[in-house]
Amino acid sequence: MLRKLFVVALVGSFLVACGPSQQAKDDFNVEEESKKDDELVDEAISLPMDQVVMLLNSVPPPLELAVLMKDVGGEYSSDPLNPTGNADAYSTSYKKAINLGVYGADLGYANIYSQTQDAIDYLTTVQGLADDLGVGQFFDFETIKELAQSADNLNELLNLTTKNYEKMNDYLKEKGRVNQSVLMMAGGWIEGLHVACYVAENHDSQELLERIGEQKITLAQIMPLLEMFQKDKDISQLHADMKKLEKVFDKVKIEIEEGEPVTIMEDGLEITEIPTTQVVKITPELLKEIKETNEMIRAKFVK
Amino acid sequence: MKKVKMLCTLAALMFGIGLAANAQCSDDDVLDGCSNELKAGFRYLKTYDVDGDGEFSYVFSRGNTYLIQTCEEASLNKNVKITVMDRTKHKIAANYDRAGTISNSFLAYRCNSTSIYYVKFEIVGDDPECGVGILGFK
Repeated sequence: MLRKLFVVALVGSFLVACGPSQQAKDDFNVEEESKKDDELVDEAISLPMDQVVMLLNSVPPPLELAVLMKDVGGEYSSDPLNPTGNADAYSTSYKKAINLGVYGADLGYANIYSQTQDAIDYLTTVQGLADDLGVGQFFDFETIKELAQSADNLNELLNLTTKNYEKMNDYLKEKGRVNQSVLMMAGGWIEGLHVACYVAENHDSQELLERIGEQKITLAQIMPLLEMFQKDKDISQLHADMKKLEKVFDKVKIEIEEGEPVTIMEDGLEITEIPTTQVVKITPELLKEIKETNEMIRAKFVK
Repeated sequence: MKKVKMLCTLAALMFGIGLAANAQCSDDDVLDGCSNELKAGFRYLKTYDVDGDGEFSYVFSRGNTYLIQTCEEASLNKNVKITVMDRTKHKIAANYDRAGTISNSFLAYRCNSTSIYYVKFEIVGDDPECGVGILGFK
């Protein structure tokens, strides 16, 4: 009898700790629909999950490139961005996920330049797509909207937006929907590159040109992630297209000559750096080729 | 009777543990507290769990300075060794000296060549219940 009581207690406490909440059950329904829609399954994963997560986390968000565009004096233009009106036509979770990444990049770009109205429009679109994918609960729409009203809140705004995207990603990974995390990341990277190429064509900056060339390093992190989901026909097609872009990026040559690490003090902060000469060989013709190949890929999912 | 009392206590304790597992300290609070500690001018990029030794990779971009800091609960944690390694996994920066003495809860690295880099966390002492590592840039 005592042993039975012990077992009941053990099982009971385990259930309390691990049992799904109503929210989790609701989430599960969304996930099931999502999986059916995309025919995406975990079996597609051939790398251990920790390596998948490591690769996903190694890709910088498009925000870094957007900051550089502004720093080099590139002017804001909404011309290269994905019009918010396109979102209504995205009916599959593939398109919703990849364009959630695209619109996230556009939102970051508008935020960096304090383009309040554009930022709010993109924010609304992001919220809609996130809701459709069952991850809208991680997007603090009201606070972000409030912060977007003033340029004084830029850092807070960017921090919160980045954190919200991170939470969506964490949730997707946790729920075995890594494929959607990969798509969000890929969409954001493609859009970041698209906008950077547009700015580089309209604003002469060697630094931006070279940073675009350096994207071949990030692309090398993205390709194995796409390769893992080859069983899905949409991702398989995207992977094949990205292979073409990878070939173009192969023409970019990067030479590095490094010294020994040194530590300097700057504004009271101890900073380590390695004196380095890095040469990125990229011509305006090669930039055009990168831009056109990337546009061909992007056009397939933004329209 | 004593045995029944003891088992009831045990059961209550186990239910308690179960509930605690559900209501572990909030990662959100730790993350918010830690990102608020980011030094002036740095923008938040990513969070990493520091609940054991771990390693992550990231493409650092030339011209950017990256700040990696660790927090336990909502305050900075000086019990974590942070090591930055280059693409060949060669150590290039750390927040501790040769004797292993940790000098700061953070590490700042200025990147002069875009590449994949590795960041390693090693906990000295007890594992924090809610530890996070934050990556920021400027």
